Amino acid sequence: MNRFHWMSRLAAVAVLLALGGCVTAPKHLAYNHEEAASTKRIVVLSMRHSDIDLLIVNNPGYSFGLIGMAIAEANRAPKSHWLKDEVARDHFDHVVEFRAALTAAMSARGYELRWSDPVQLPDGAKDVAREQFGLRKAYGPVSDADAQLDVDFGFVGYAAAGSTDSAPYRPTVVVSARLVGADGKRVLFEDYIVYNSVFSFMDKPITIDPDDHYRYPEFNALHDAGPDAVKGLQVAFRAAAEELAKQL
Amino acid sequence: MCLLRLVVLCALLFATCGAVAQAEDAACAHSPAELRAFVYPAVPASTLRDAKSADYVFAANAQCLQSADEQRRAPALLIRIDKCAEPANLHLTSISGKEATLPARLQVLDENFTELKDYPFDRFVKRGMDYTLTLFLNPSPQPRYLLVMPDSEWLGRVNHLTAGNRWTAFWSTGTVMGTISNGTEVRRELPFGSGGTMRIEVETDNRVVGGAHAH
Repeated sequence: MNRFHWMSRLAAVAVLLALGGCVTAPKHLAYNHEEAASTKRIVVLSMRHSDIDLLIVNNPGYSFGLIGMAIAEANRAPKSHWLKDEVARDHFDHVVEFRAALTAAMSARGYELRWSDPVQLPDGAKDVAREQFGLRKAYGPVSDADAQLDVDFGFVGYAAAGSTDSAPYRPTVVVSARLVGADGKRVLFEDYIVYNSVFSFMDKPITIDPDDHYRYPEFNALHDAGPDAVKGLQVAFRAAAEELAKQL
Repeated sequence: MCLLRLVVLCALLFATCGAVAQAEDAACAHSPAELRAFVYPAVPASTLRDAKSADYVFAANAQCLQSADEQRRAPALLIRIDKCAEPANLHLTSISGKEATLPARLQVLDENFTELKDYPFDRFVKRGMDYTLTLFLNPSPQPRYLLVMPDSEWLGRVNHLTAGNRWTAFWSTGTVMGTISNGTEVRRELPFGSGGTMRIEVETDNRVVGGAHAH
């Protein structure tokens, strides 16, 4: 089961990287404050499941077919497990962190957020149809809010652009968001935000430059940082939430 | 005799300085109405929503504009938006040049050059080394103007970008060949200044869930 799980994820990453610019990213549709001045109460829809992970985006192992991919994955998997353990040891929940930061930032702008239950779907739970970046394909109407916010995480965790010291590991967060009207038909806002713009195939996302304090030239440096590395994730999720609120 | 020459020389000097000052003064507009306006759409279109994108190289097209209190001069780009019968969303992008990123401050002016709205550079969104802003224009039977100037609050600051870069190399052993890819981190820095290009394009999306572009 585990082998199938990581092989399928690996294949998904490989396909994503191979497709490059072919991947349909969220559009850049800005929010019109004047048109939607009465939008104050927003329901945040359940997010699909996401886990903190670790990735070398352009791993040279991916250039050598399935064997190369398997070797690259064998190298990556224990590092990813270490990061997940470290996050668990620090009781860091990225969804809780993001939710708190977005709620506060939106409240400061006069919005009232109501988060759906569950905030994030459990791993393996039955989900609605979604687009490539995780946003829903369709929305139903709501009567108890002025608008619906669909938020979804892409890669979250630590990512490096390549396998050399010139491509350090940095906290990385990819967030897609779409605000639709209460009728579920009209798009009020749509975009995506990347903290640490390490995925070169992404088409002009809103970019947040990463904090240089959390820059680790190699995995050993990240490992030695321990709790500080988790703090880097906290900084990244807060920055992404605040940037999203800034758009609305 | 010498005293007379000195007096004549000084008079000539003052006259020259005055002429230069007057020429500079004449070259610098005292109000946006005195600036030469570029027209958008640059290529005629039946409606604004059909307009093609247009690029305006800031350093080449900006003209000198003196502030209302006459304390400051700055380069300014004036773009006339032709009348539009229906709402239109304009995407503006400040595209970084080789030497600078324009920290654009944008004013929307009516047909009498009266300010309707003011967008400081804080309102722009960072996308890599570029910055974008969307303007939501209501229908208007009259033309409107966009006045683009450097936001003085941002001059002297630096535009930073940390990003991943993928490279691919070809290899061959004589009998076997293939490619190998890896990545590096690229760090770019540009000062905010009077450079770069201002791009204007019209949003074509119909903003309906699952909908495609309007065209």
